[in-house]
Amino acid sequence: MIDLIKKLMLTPSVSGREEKIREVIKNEVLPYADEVYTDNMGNLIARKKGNGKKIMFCAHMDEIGFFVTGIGSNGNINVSPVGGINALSATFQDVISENGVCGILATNSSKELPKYEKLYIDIGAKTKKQAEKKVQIGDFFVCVPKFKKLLNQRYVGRPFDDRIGCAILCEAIKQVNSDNDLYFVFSVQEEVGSRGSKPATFAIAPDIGIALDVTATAEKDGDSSMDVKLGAGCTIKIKDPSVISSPELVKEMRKIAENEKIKYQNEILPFGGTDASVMQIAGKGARVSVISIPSSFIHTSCEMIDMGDVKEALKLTVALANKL
Amino acid sequence: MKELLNKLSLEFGPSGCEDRVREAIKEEIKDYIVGKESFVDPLGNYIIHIGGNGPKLMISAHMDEVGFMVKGITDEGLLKFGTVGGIDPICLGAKRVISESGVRGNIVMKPIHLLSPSERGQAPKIKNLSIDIGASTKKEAEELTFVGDYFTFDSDYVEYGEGFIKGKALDDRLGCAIMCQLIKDIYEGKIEPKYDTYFAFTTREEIGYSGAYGASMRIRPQYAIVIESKAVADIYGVDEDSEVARLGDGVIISFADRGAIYDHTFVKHIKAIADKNEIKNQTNRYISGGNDSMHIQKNAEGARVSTLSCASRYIHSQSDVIHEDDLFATYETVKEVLKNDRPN
Amino acid sequence: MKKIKEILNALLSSNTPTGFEFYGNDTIKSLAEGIFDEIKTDSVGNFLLVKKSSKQNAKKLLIDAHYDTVGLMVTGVFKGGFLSVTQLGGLDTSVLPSTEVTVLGKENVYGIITSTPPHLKKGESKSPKMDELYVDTGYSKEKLSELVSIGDPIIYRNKVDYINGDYVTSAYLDDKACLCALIYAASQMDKDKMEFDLYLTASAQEETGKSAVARLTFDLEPDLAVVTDVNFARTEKDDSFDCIEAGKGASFDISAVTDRKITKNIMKYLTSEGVGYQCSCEPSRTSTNADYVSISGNGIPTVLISVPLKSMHTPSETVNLNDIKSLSDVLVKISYNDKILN
Repeated sequence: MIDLIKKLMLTPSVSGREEKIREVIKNEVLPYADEVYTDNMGNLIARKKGNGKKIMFCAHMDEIGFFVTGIGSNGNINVSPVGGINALSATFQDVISENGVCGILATNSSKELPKYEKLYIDIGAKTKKQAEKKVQIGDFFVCVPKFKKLLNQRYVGRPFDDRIGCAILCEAIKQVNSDNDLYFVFSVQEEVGSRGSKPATFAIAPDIGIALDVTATAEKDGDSSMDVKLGAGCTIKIKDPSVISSPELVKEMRKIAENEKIKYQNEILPFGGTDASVMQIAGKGARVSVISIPSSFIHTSCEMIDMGDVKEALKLTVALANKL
Repeated sequence: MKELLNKLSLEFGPSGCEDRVREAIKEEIKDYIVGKESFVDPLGNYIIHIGGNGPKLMISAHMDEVGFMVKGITDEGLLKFGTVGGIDPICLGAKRVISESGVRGNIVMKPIHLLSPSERGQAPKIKNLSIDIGASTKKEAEELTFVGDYFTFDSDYVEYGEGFIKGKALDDRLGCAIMCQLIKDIYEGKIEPKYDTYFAFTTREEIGYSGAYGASMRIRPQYAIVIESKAVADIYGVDEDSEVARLGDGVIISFADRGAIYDHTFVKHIKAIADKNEIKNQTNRYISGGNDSMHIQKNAEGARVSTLSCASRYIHSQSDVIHEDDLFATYETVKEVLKNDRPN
Repeated sequence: MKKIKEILNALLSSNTPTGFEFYGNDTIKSLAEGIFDEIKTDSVGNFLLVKKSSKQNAKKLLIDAHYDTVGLMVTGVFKGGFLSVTQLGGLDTSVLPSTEVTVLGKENVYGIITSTPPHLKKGESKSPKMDELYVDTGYSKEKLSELVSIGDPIIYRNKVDYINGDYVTSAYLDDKACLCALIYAASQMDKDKMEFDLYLTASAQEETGKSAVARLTFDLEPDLAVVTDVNFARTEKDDSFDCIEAGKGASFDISAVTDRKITKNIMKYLTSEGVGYQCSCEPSRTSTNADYVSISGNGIPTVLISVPLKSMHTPSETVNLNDIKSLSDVLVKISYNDKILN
């Protein structure tokens, strides 16, 4: 699974430009699904047919990054962030374009906390003309993908959000053995406001929707208002500002987790949102919740996860697919 | 004693309007003070001279509570009010209140949706709050209330958690309840006071110009024990140094507060008695607040004063909270002090 | 009025913090019994109650009131029996200190929202932030952990008072005052006079802004949706005309979202029938379910009617019973006349 995670992480695809990552995932799931298709918006959907409940699992393929918005006369590249970039972390980082052009994300003043509008990308070009040969308006850049092992089966890099969810679904589809009608959805454009999962949910009209995504951790992110620890198991989301998970579903998930001896934590995230919010109210609506993988330093270039949590999340996903 | 506290706490009695509390107390103890001198003084204090062999001791608790007074009625039928005693406006928004004659009302403020961005996040100010009694004109309101009418919190008595008590006016009906109990104990011979004992149920403590002035001038005690509740902050997130004291850790035998530095000998004496009788006790770990003892200490010839208090959370709100262990520890302590000779 | 009080008291005693509407299932079911032909629930927590007209092929009238209320949720259990909390729906933290609540844990647990005593305040006069407030339960952490878990909802302690005769005060009148009017109206509707089939929704998650009712309207495709909600009743002097008057009847909200023609038709019709009402303007959106219902499915003509409410989203929301009755009267009239659509 480590190889798979690495492969997914090293394939840059920002929101709205998920073509590359979609190809990788498609090849991964094709042998195991009864049906694999891409919808109008670009969501990749892998179905394992069954006569039971219609369950939709959803992880988003996109990642945060930058769109090129213009090129200055001095060859500096103006950019606009896609999704909630942590400007503090991104500044003076290596960036790479969708076409492999390298550069750095710079700002005129290195003394102050950077502001979005002051950020630009320097690819070493001396003139506008030179830059235009390499980069066009509308190209995307991302902070250079990374994947490194640290102590204690902890890994650091980017973008774990949400390639780790995608990896879990790719694995789960291989392992499930269920009567339920299962849809594994790899959604687009989550980072700009969960835009992709809406039509996907509408079309599938699931009974139950479960998103897989990362969540923050209390001790490392210094947020005492939540109770999630890195390495203490996957989490079952109860609430974030975008969604209140369906209480009955949460109860069932806990029960299954306890029966299967899966380590889980209760999650109330004080900020952010996931595809579950949209799955809950798209079309006729569905019962929803989220399995989250605790990740410290979300949306920075060094998101950190614990592989133990990932394993628990995978176990829970498979158990839910089989037993819900 | 808890039943009595329940009963007394529900009586209406903001400062200057303690009649109902006093009548309830009179009724409660009338069979236990037969043959003893008792009177109501000009300030409304209710004083009972129990007697006993020894120096004069005044035990006091105040009957009044914080509240609201109607200052004016608007054309829209709303009551503008001032507070009687110190009330933090943050504890007032959307609280229910009741007048002396039983008219119910709600404290209303501009809803958050209609506040300008600069107004948001600011704590409410008294002048921006009103009491709504369901009247839509001044005339209609005037049929229910008048300028100068009193209101108090409309809040009930609840025992919750492990030994906690919530109510209105627990400050200082708990002192009144303890004093009633002591009077009964003495009557029943459970206590033989080693002091010439006076009990004073005082008025107007919450506004500072207290009935205790007159009472102590009249009694001229050598020793005085004030039974009170004390504002503490033993809530999660407050550092230990600022907690003042903790609920459930027993009677607070104060060494000093903002109003008085207590008589060191008397305080040590009381502490020793409490320890000897294995009564849970603590002292305040932060200098704050003040009570009738500051007046009693300095009045007339002066007195050796001590304050024994129950720690109280959210004091002066609709949800005054104390712990029953502290209530009983305070009672036991005064009882044992009465039984023992005065300090050397 | 007795019947209205009964329905209202039943609704007010059901605990339905937003996202946890199912706690009130039994209440709705028992209230709906005998009045409706059909009772349905959906996956999002909405209730759909149907009462058919005797008329064949009657048009569909949807009337909505949301069933959820604002509340809090447990985010942590700490020593000394304190719970950290987050909000369910929008709350004004400046009314929370010293407020009494009930934690809906394994069993109901009484609690008080903390308030910092004056000696720790450094001259600031700010409202507390949510993360500075705790719920004091009086239990030890160990005992409390057995009773309460992270994610349990918390509601204001329910206390219903009547003020000056016709005013009722409770924490949950938004929007149960309207739901009460709806159920009462349905019970008064004569099937032979009804020109619409009535689809009444007690809807979920309005307070979170998700407006779950739009899930139902999607399939139903009603010919008219009447959304009912509470609106600010004037307390202090109001020069901005942001508020309506309590005691003066149901209020039509004229807005860019609502259907201008039908609203006008209804108001004209009510005037001719001698039924009173007031109106107010929401120039842009309405911040109610009407916003979402109007754009659900293929688009639905929507009318918004409000009941005046004082002290919104506080533990002392206040409504005049006559305004509930007034809304009910208006709704009954609407159900008797499908010509308002023309």
